[in-house]
Amino acid sequence: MSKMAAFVSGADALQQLIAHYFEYKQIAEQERTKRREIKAWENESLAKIKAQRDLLMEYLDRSFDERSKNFQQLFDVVDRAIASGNNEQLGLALDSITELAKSSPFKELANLSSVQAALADPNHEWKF
Amino acid sequence: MIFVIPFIMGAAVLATAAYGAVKGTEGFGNINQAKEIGERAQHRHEKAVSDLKVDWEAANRLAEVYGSLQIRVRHRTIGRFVAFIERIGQKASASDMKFLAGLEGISIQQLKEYKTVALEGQEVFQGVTSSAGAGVAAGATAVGVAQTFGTVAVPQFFGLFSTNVAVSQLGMSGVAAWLGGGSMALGGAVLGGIALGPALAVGGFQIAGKGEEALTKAREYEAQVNVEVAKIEEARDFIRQVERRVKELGTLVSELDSRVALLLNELESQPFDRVQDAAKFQQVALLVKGLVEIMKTPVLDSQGNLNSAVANIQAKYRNL
Repeated sequence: MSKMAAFVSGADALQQLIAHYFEYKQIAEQERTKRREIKAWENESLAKIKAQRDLLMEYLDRSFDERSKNFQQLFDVVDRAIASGNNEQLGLALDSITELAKSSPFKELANLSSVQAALADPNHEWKF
Repeated sequence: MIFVIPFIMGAAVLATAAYGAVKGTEGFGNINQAKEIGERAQHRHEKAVSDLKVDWEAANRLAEVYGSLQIRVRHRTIGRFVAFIERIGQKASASDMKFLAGLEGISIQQLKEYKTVALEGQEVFQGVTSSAGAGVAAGATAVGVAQTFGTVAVPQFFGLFSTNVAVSQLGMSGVAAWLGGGSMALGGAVLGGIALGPALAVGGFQIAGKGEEALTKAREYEAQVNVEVAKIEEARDFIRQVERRVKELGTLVSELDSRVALLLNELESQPFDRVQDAAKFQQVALLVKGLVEIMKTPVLDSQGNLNSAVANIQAKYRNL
């Protein structure tokens, strides 16, 4: 190989190397940007899911606790009515029990935005 | 001086080649890291889906227990109440029966309904006891409780991934193929002698680029898995609330059932007297009415359709 040929070959190689280097730098930068975007999407999505989960569970926990207390009170009325022979009161208490049982605690979830507002309101009176 | 230029150029080529080789090593490191990230994420997703299935099956079993409770109540309590009425009806005069049917909470139509309810319970009860293998599941299905559960595969039910996204879908196979090609190219370069340095550097930069891409794909997959796992955890919480609803209905049925049984014991302990026992009879009838109403109540929505309820909830979620 002549000196000139070696020189040309070396210059070509260097040029090629530099081109590949810059290509790599560009890819690396693009990929880092993509990864930052992915992280942001992940954080946002997880925060949204957590907020929904907290809202849903808080609502259902409160709802079930409240219902349980109400059922207990109604059964006390049922027992008193049976003992005293007050069938009118018995009928009313049993109607309340069946109505409460039929009203699914999940039903209200269809309107979660109102639930969200209710949870945010400290003066909201919960009726189940 | 002119003889120095090739040396400088040669040194520059060698230095760049060395840098390329370092980058190439980094690239291999990133590719391996990407593979590990992908595999760990896939494992986490598989575990989350498996935990969800376990919870789902537990909820199904609870629904079956509630179903079998209903069958017992229909067969024993409602059936006993119907038999009691039939017994006193045979002895009572027409005016007595008219009087009883005229009490609030009791109608001929209701009595017919109770008879049907009791018969259904009896049929299922006998079916279950006559075939030992059928167990509570058959009974639960028959009363329409468990059939609202379990017919749909869990992940689809909650709108989750139904299958795992494999690591191979990360584009890793593409990277591997390229690496295979790359090593052949490098082999050719070694034979080429003089071109070895630049070829190593070019390969190094290309590997480094592929490593960056692989890392991004792995992170993207990991992020998707993390979001999906969070949704699965939410679904597991929701299942626990569905179980709470099943327990609520089961407790109500048990509470009413025990009161009916006590009152029926009292009524059956002595001959029925229209005047003296009418009030107690009405109490039983009112309790039975409540019992039947509650047993008709579905676990979730008014149609007893778990899917639409969940779909509705999910639809609302997304708009929040």
